[in-house]
Amino acid sequence: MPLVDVLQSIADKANHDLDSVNDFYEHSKVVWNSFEKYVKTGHTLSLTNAATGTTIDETGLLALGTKYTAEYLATFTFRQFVSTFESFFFAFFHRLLQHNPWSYARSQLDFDTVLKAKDRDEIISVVLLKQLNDLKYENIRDWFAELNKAVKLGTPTEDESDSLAELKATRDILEHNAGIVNATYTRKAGKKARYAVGDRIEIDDAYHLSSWRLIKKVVTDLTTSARTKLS
Amino acid sequence: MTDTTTKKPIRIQVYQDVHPFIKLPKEQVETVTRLFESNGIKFWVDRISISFDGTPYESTIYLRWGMNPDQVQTLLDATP
Repeated sequence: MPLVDVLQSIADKANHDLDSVNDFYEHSKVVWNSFEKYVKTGHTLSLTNAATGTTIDETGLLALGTKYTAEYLATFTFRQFVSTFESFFFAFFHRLLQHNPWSYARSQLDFDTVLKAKDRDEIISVVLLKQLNDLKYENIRDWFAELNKAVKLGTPTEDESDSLAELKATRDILEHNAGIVNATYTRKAGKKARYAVGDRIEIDDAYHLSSWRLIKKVVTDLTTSARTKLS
Repeated sequence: MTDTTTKKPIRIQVYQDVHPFIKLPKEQVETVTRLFESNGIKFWVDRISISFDGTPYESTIYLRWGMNPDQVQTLLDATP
């Protein structure tokens, strides 16, 4: 398959996954709203959770609905957005580098990589994967700097790159620090930081939607630019 | 097998990209899981059981990927 088509398929998968998660978020809210109407029309419910032993009725469940959607559902789906972008970016970049690996020409290579590989392409792929794995732990702005060294795609803009860095910093705090902002967040988020150290991160509806839109735009822009450059 | 609440046959529900599942009264879960286990059917029982408007608690059993829903339905139909 031509490289541009491979890149497009990577982008298509990311877009599909992003849309699925967004739909899951919105549809789940609809279900909760429907449940609220169900209860208001006099219906009752009782449910038990065999794992926790918890039993709850319709009033108790309704009271938890806001917490479930605002805290768990929003943060879970937001984290999925960022994870999807990371998967997209590194699959996309890896494929581009396989086409043009020269920006990593000075990379170190273990001899056993050569011994175990079945051909030159596999050696290149293994070296690139190691380099990209190291890059994952760097600031997202560095991701784009590395990408531009390999192929000058001219996207995303600096402002978009800064916003993505803030998204990633937010995701990392939710993942590793129970949502409480620390100095790592302020450093990674830079001028787009929305919180001070000690604040608790919230994923409100507007931020949730703008994050999804930004990621979709960057996925599309990177792919369109790559297609133009490589065609 | 008949649903003791509705008095209708227990049916496997199949939707795209979803594990096939059956909904049944909680009191019948043990019977069905024993039937599945003795016939090599791979499944799991949802932790949640729900009662709507005071009706008996309802549970859900999901078939794992690779299980043939038609064969499992035949097994259920053949069981009194």
